[in-house]
Amino acid sequence: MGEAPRRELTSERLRRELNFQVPEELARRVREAAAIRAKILKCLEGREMTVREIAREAGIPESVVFWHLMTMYKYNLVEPAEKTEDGLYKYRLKRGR
Amino acid sequence: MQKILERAEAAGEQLSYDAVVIGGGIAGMEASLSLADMGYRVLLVEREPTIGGKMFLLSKVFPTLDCASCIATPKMAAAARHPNITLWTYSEVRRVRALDRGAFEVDILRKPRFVNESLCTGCGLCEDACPVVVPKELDFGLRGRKAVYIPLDTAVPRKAVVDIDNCILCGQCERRCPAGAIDFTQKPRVYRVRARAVVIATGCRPFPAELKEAYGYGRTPNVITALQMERLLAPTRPYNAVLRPSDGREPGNIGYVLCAGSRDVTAGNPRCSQVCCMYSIKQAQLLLGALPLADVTIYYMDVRAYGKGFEEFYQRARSMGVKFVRGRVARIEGLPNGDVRVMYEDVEEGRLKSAVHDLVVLAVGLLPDNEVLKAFEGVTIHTDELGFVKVDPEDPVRTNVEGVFAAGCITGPKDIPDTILEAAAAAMRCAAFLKEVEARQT
Repeated sequence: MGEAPRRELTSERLRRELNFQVPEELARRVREAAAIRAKILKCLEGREMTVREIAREAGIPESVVFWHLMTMYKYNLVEPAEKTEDGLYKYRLKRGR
Repeated sequence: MQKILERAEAAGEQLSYDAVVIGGGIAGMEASLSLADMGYRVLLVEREPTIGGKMFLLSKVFPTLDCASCIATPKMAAAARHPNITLWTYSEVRRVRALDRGAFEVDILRKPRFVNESLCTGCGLCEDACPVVVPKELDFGLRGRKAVYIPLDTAVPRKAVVDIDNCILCGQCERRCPAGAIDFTQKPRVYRVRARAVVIATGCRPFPAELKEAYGYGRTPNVITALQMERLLAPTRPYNAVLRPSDGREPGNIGYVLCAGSRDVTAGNPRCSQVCCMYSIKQAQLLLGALPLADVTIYYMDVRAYGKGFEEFYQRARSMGVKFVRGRVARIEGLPNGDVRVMYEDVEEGRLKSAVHDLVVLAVGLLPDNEVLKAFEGVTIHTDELGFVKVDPEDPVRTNVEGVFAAGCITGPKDIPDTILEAAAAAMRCAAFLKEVEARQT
């Protein structure tokens, strides 16, 4: 008996109907953001770091690191740990994620 | 979205309501609930994917410091569940035509959420799967959201929506959704609705702070608007604490600049925003609660503490240690370490001075959110020179068009109690008009 044909996803259908190509600018932004998130997550593997430390190690501006970090915090990928004396929080990967 | 909107279909059904209320903020919800409680059938139309307007984004209200969400969310739930209210979110009024006395024809575009609302449980798994991150509008860009998202934990309806402009149609959300709610076959539909009255309650929008170039908003990460600070202080806040956006540090020294884009002819907005003094004083008090060691300075021209309990609220802020400096801020600039320098004229001392803060908050003015007025055909809703709907001073919810009422910040900046009062008045006036129309028809 052969496998049942896979049902077409509605997203695939809309793609086909609109002859949709991801706009270049959007594709670039998605790739860039994914790369930044991956760098941040790699930095945090097995340790706790402040925004400043991540920025220095990953070579990304602090404001960009913080924006992505807070986005990942809301999506339960990272969590704040202790606060340092200069008012900066350390962040770590969310336990059990 | 443009390509999607081109696929809009006309809905065949003829719908009819006693009143169409445009805008699902606190004014629209209050007007709808009041009319519905009187037995009238109301269609409440909201442009955004959730009702709640600005109020459900706020931290607390002044001068009582009651939780804003605790007041707004029960009203949101009540509006969504009232048997006499039909709620259409993510919908836009495209055309309003006055056919006769007490007879309007309203064309409403229902944009596709690409999510089957009856199947979506609001679990958020689609968000986790989505690879696209864009600035979150409801947090005024302080953090990101996904291309498929639930607007806020307290959203009504608490259903996901696909931002099709930023969607790459990768299908990840559709594969992940356990309820099978993602549906890209949805099409926009235009409904033609008959109504006997219309209530405009589209509210206001903050003055675009970037237009006040000397204040550096948009160029200096640690210059934020008061609405962004509201989000930082709200229970549904984007960060784990009050932190500055440049580096995530807790600010120890915060400056407030009042009248940023209001009472300012050079910024094109000479009008007082009515609320920026009091919300700044409120935020200063809340900041001292969240950051007990912080210094908060408010730069002001004059403090307009005009309402019941406002003067006491202002005096309390002073006694808590909030520093008030009477002076007009001329310029704000970012420093290399992320701090912000404020240059101002100290009016009391008659000298030019400067001060450095960790974070500066611009108490921006309010402008009308009046896009919907363009949808009126055959009649023109009169506005003032700034675009706020003009109302009869002796009947401040009645517009120049019979059967069209207005409530809330669309008629001028005002605080929440005044907005609610006005919305109830608009509902009462609207009900009287409906009764009169009924009497003539029988």
